[in-house]
Amino acid sequence: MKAIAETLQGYFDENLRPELAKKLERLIEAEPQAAIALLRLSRVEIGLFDWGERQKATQEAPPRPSASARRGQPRSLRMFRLASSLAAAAAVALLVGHFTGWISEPPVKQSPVKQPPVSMTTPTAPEKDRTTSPDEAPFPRSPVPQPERSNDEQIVLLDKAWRTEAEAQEYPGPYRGKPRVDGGGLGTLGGHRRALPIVSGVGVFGGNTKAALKGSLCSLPEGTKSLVSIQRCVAEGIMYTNALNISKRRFTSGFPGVSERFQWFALDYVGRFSVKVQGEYAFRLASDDGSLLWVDGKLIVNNDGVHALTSKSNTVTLDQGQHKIRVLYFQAKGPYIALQLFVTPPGGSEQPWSPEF
Amino acid sequence: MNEFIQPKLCQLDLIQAYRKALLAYALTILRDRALAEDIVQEVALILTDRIGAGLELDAFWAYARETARRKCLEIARERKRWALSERALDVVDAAFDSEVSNRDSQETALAQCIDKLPVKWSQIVDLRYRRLVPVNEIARELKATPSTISVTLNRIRARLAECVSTQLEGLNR
Repeated sequence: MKAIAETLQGYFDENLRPELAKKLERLIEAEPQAAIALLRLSRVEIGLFDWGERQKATQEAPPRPSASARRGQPRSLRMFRLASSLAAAAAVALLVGHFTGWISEPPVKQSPVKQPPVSMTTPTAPEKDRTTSPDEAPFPRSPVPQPERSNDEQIVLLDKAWRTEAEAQEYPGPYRGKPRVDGGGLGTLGGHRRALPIVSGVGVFGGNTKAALKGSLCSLPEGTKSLVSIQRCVAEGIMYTNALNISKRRFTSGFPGVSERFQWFALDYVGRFSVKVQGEYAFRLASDDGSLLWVDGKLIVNNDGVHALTSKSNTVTLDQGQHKIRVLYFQAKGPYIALQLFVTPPGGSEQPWSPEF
Repeated sequence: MNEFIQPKLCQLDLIQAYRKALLAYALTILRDRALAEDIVQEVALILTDRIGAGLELDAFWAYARETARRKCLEIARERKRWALSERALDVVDAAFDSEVSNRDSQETALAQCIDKLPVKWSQIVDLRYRRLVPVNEIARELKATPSTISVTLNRIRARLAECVSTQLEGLNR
């Protein structure tokens, strides 16, 4: 088993040579133990990334002694440390579970302060720029202090907010642009699926021709004050676009073919873009009202809240190639809208975001 | 007798419990963690629908694995990415079904095993998996060649896989 595991060691190398891949494939075909060994290696690889995430989550805790220093400590103390860490992790998990249905957050402070840079290679959490205002909370606050949430947790909570169980049955198409509208979706698996309508023609926020960004529209309850406070939002229709460059304007046309709504709505754009050169890219997100930008799953710009046209920027280091992007936008009350995303490539000048630059 | 999964009550817990195993499965097929994450997200959504339609608990695991397999092959075809052959996948499937036990203990065992790594290896693990530093940059930081770092990472994975197996075997005794 050990010999097989050693043979499989190069399997996760980024530059695995095709001939070696073939050789490993043949080994797996011939030797069930190789498949077991490979699955175990995969579990370790996934487990290591999860471990890294957990370590990051506890970064703000008092600094731990280094591994070498810990090795100098008695084993019982190390075990105690480990047990404490596990207990803390379990407590955090319980708290997160407790708050699953309760995601109201304090409002976003509307400050034009530039956020600190984020590196995708050595990511750091964007600076929290929120003020506390219990009056903003639409639901009673829990007596338990709210846990610090990672970006991923925030995304999960926002995902959950998009629809309820009952609504999921009416619109089985899941959130995050997953509803299939292009050929029956999951019908082959026996699941009944109703396709979401696509906007007819070209609207301000997108059209019906497939493009790099796929936007899902949902209606918000009146009084929504921020994206992170959304308790529920049912996806109603979709649209596609290759740009987010809607300058401030009146908006009374709604979403032809989907909804006549022109206020109290949210849009979730997901897609990919590619960059030709590695380097530091500056993203500027301007919106009326709130918006959030994620790149490769990391929250880069937080421009949330009800506000007039406000612009926020941040930089991120990107490798050459494809990257995931997600923009959440919401419009509260009023006829004026705006949503613009600009990018400044390394050594270049600012330009509207496009699928390739 | 088959037990029916109660939607709303435990479907999320159940999917979450299998998430890592499914991630590992997809990673095994595609060798790409980002793609594996996408696959598992899609599978989770499909499972949610299926559980709501009364999927039996006994069938859950096989259904999840089969769905993940189909999705992996679909995405590999669409994006012209490398993926394990169907024949190799049959072997992996059989191995996978025999490996699903001890899911809950795995995380604890791995954390303990990471703690036992030599200092130098701990440093590499920290750079690669906590700070998500690419192999080339780790090599620069540690004044080594990228291939040395790759080989070391492979050894670390192998050591950890062996350590986790040993720990889990100990638990089962």
